[in-house]
Amino acid sequence: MHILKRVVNFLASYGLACVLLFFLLLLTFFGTIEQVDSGLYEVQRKYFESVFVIHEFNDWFHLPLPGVYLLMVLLFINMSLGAIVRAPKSWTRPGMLIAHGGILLLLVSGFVTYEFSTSGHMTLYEGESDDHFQSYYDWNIKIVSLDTDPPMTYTIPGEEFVHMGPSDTRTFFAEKLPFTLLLEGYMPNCAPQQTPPIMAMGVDGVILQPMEMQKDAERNLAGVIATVMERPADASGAAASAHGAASTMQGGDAHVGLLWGMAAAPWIVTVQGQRYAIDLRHDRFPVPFRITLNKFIHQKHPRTGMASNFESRVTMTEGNASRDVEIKMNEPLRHKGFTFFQASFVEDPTNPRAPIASVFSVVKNPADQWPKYACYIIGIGLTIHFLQRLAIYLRAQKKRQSHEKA
Amino acid sequence: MKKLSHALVVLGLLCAGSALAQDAPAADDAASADDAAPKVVTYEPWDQETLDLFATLPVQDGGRVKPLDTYARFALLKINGKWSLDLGEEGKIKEPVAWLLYSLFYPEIAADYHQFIVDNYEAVAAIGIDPGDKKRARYSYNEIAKGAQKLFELDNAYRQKEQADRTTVEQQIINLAENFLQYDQILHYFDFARRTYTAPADSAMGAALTDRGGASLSMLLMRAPEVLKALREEGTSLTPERVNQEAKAIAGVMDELEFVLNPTHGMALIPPPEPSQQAWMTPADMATRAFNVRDLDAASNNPIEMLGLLERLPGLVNDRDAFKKMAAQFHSKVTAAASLRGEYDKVPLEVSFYRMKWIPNSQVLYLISFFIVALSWVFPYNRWWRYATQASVLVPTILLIVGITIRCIIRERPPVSTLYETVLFITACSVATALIIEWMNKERIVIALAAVLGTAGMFLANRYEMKEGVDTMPALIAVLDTNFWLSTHVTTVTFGYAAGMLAGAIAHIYIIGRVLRIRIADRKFYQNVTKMTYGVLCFGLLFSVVGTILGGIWANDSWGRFWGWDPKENGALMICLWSLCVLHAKMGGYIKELGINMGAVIMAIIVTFSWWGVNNLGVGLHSYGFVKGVWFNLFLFWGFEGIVLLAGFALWLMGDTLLPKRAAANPESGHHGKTKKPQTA
Repeated sequence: MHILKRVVNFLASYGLACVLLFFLLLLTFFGTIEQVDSGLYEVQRKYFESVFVIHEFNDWFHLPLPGVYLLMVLLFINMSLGAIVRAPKSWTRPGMLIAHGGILLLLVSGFVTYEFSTSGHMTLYEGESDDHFQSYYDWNIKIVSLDTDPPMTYTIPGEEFVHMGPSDTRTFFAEKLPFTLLLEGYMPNCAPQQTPPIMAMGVDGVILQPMEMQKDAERNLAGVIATVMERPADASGAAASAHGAASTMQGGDAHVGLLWGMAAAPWIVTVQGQRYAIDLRHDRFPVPFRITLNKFIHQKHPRTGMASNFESRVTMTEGNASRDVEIKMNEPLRHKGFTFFQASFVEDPTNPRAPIASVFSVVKNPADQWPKYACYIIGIGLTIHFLQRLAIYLRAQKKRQSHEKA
Repeated sequence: MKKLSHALVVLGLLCAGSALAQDAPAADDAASADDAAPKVVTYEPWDQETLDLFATLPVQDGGRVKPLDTYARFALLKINGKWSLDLGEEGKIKEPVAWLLYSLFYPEIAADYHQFIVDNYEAVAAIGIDPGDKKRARYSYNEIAKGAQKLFELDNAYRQKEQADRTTVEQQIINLAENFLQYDQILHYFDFARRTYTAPADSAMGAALTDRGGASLSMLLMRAPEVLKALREEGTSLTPERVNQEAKAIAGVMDELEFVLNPTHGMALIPPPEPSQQAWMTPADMATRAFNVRDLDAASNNPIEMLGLLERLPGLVNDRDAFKKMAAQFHSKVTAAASLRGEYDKVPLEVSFYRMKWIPNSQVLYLISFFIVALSWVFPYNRWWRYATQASVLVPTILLIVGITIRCIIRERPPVSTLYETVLFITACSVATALIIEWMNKERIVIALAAVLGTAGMFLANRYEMKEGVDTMPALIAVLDTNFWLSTHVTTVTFGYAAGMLAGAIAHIYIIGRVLRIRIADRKFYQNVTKMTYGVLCFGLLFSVVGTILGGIWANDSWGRFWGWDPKENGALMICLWSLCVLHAKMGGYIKELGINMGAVIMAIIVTFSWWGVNNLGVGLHSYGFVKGVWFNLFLFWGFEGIVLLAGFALWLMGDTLLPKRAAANPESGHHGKTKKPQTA
């Protein structure tokens, strides 16, 4: 019991709070500086979403540090226990308790956002509509049987192949598919390149050329070499749907294709007289209503190239009901847990008359508004506390001055 | 002497057959009277009335309508590095608008003004100009023109590089090219009005223009649409030869216009007649409209009358009364049109804002207050000196606050929306907070600091404005153009910066005071200093935390995420984390007076990193306000703060031996605030 009390006291201590806050500060600083070289996406994963991190000052001096994720969890424990241990002594200072409650809510909302939110974008030209949005970073491979009614769709989620090294291979098969799909040579950022015919390389002379990773991770275009290996008819029943299981299946024809994130069309392959579309693409998520872009307005400050306003006029259709909505900078559309933001636009710089697409950032976040509530709580708490302290200080000051006069 | 020398220069140019010899006004009815004006160019100072007329003339520039005075002010500042132009023996042009008028109406003289500031002789040497023996010098337009080709070649090459990767000399060459181009446009702005326009007499265009021996631009733009319409109506009845002939005549006029009107793109002085059109017009825009065969009807809306008045100004410059009269007519037309559009009401206020020098005057007065505070230490117990000290800080603070308020009124925005404005706001807030603290505790500690902070803040603001040389009230990009978030998040978080800087500044009194053994026996003094540091840190925490979270809420509304680990967000977070760290360390008993004060010094380092440093990392959504050379100054500041911290660390190593622990050790100072007169060391 004594040990438990000591552990609780340690976890609730000001000392631990100081150490955690200091490490958070240090990691925030390192993470800020490193963005110059590595870009936000990489830094976020390395410093701010990790349990441990090794900060490389230079080639030979590497410093192991706790990651921000771990620090946040410890801070949550520290604050919660601190509140419990010290609450009875803190009733005379209600402001502090309220403010700490707000910070706890902020940490919880950060956790919920990190674990449960989904985000991506919906890009529409005027007149277009969609009820899906797509991820900025996460990939999957979709296999659609085109000649069955209805078409059957199989998905290989990104986590099954994005961690593959350049020389790794993985094989995927499903019970009802007459082939296995072998993936090899995954590249997180690449571009197709035509090779001279004499080299007889790649698929029809096209290879995927690895590219340097972009600092803006959404610009990376993944690619992978896919081989469709027809299965002998008698093997189809035996194959269970086992994602990622290595296969040594033999026999049947093999078709080799390149899957690339920006391919204009899926790879169509015919196996046993049936056509299948295989496509590497960003994850897509459904939205329970449809958004149609009626008009996109892009205004600039007069006689400058500086944007003064972006605005999309959309129609939101849900079942038979529809309503017109404006989505502007700083004025998003919130509906059914989804939030649509006017994020950017796509224009053809060489052709000012070409249509412009509006890009909405779409977020589904259960903790969307929690930081706002946390802000109110913290603001109220700190104001109460500091006014209380100011009053005490002024009283003491008055007393001191009256003593001096006396 | 001045008049004579300029007259001689002009005479020389006239003899050499300069373009100025054709300084004839436009050849329409009214202008023909001016032909009789003597062709001798005088060069007199502009009278105040003329200057006022031009100063309050609205112009659309940088996305907003502003006074011509502001345009001239920042153009001169950018080119010359100062708001006045020193002409050596010939005196000084004090008003930027006067400089603009000389440049517009006496281009052949202004081209010899030594006004292009080049900080490093290597920049001019690189373009083939002999820099002489001066490292930093000012060059004239004519001097730079000799190396113009090389200048633009280098400019083009260096622009391919990222701004952060350019050397100082490369950046100076880019700046010089930019300034040269801008000034070239100013010098040649009225070229269109110093000539007449003709076309071959056997063409319809020629017939419309040559009846008086050539037309002014306004006449050309009035007649051109009629000619084009008539030709279109004749349509297929024209023979191929005639079509060719007419096309050639029109193309000739258009080529000439394109060349001669190009410099007018720099200043949009004419409000468009259509309320829906945001962009103001230049003579070049009017020409485009007049020759737009797709919509010739729109040409009838061209504000020809205003152009007619404008184009007659160069021809009247030697008759200043007539010139002023014409300028007044143009001014009245333009301001009436701008007022109708609701774009003129703030223009006179902006002119008076700069002329009243609210902010430069506050800088001077802060400097004076600094000396008054220093003198007040000679008479520490004199009540009147105390009042004088407080007043000496209060007056410039009031001027500064009035200046900030007028800026808010002019731009209809909260006080902070640019990096420059953060300097003004942080200075005002930190000095005002120091005054409030002084009013509460009457210790006369922070009042001295207020004078130092005010002087330093205004010096920084002035340096920044001079170095950047761009309008400090610019149009804002779309995401920033929201008064709600600017007034809540930006103001709050900037207030947090101010508190952090003030806490850091107060902490210096503690550390430096103890190192120099000032009032070393007066423990109460140091306790009070620490109380102030601590109080301001707490106060800053409130604003920093609320401001940072408000920023997150704004980001959640504009970018779809509450927190994105963007450098500017991280900077604000670091301020919050460090405040919390210091406060918790104090509550846990890990640090005491010295620790709190050292913590506040570190806070000042973090605030400056967040305030200036992250902008210069060149990454993130907030990477505005890139300032070349800021790292050097930051490292200088951090180096100084590092020395202060080392001194604090040394004090800690030596223990508290320098400071008596008990008031009993100093019976004069006493305990519990019983001191009547503070002791000096």
